[in-house]
Amino acid sequence: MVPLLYMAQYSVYRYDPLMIAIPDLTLENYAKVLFDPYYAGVLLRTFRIALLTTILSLVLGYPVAYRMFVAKGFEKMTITIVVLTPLYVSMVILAYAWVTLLLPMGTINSLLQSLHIIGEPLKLMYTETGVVIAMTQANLVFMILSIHSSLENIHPSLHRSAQILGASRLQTFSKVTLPLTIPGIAEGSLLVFSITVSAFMIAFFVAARQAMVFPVFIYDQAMDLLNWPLGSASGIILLTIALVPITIGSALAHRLAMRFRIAEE
Amino acid sequence: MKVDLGRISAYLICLYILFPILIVASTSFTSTPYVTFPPKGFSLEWFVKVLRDTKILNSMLVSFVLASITSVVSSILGLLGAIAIVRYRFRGRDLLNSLFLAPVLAPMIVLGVGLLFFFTDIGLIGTLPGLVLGHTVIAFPYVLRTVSVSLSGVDRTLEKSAMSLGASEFRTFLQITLPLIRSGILAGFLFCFMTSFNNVSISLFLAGPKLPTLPLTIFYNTQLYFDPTTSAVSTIILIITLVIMLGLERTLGLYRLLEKAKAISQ
Repeated sequence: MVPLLYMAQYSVYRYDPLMIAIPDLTLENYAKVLFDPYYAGVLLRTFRIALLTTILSLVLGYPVAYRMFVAKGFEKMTITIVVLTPLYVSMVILAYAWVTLLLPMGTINSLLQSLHIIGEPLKLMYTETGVVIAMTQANLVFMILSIHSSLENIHPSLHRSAQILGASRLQTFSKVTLPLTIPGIAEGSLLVFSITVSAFMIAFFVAARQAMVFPVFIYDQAMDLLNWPLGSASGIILLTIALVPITIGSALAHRLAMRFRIAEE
Repeated sequence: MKVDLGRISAYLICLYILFPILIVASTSFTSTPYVTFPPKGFSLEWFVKVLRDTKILNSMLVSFVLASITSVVSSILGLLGAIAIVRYRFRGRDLLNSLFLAPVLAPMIVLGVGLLFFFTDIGLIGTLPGLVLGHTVIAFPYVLRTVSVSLSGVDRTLEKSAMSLGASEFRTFLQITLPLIRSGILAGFLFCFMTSFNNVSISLFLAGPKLPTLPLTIFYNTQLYFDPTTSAVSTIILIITLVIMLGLERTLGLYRLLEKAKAISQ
């Protein structure tokens, strides 16, 4: 808690190139981050990347969560291990891996070129597209686990009843399974969103300064430019952005889950 | 034969999740002086280079020492915290519990910057105690969680029988409770070790030039130059991580592991 208090304190101090911070109360740091066009642009880009990552994670996460739920034995174990891997691998290794993949001469471009799918190398490194591809790989696990746990919560007899009543597999899925996993989808989306907004390592290497996002901006202020007041104000704003969805999310997910439980009974 | 589209897409997405890690591992065996995929030839020269590089070996030592101390400190704190929260009823218990778990929810970068300001003020920047403290903040919630879970599963009648047979409270804890929650502590310890060993976002702000951890060395090397040595170091870390993961699987079982991952991420 103390580190956060320090941060809150610095965030209302005035920046001074020599002293780093002068203790007189001001809100100019917050105003700067929120209203200056450049900083607001960084913030907006961060939101855009997180939103796209969340959508892509949902699209890619659902089939895996479903397979993980249906599969048994060895298949289930293998999928589970694969899904959990990014959680256990150091972020710096993932970031390094994505740099080797996304560079103009990197793996993805040379593979696509040798297959004659593209002529010119795609611009992936230092672009939002590249960041979204990398972030999705790193954070997909949170979406998959959330959806998986809501699949596990569905009573198995519901599937059987739907099929006995004559529903096809597709109908069972769209009318029974999908609606019942909405709490998991909501929870996973909010989780992926807030984790992507605050993810630093991949953003630092793949987005770098060309597609600057908020966490990288904070790092620069704190470590390179030594503008601690501005860095602190940004940190507090990021904390708010990251925590609000989680808080709303857990309340919402809880209420949705309650509603479905009542509907089930 | 019927083509199961759902299954195929699930496998392809799994491949996408594994892809970066497979690439790093395979590029570390290349015989070319640059990172390339598919790797050309096979050589172990990059691993040899790693083992000859005193800077990398030094940072490996720093990481091991740091992760070990952090795990021990976090395990002790986590155990005490779990006992307080599970066994005792007091005012502000829920608040304390959420305060303990808060560091997991806060963005790592915010925590790192906050710690930077705090430790600069009290002179802990660039010191081992500072790093240990910083890592403990993010590692100890894991022990708290795993120990709390196994502690609430302990049958209290066992402790009561021990005490009615004349064992002191301390002896009961040592000989009855502790063995029963052993797997929870061990799992928490391994989680801590892994968290600390792999962490870079906190170390980045606290380490300073004198204490480069292994992930930090990768962090700086990736910015300077691009050769397969970094792949080789990453492969070594991946193997260590894999060993710990297998250790966790042995102590907890895979599905419990999954539950743990969920409990911690939420």
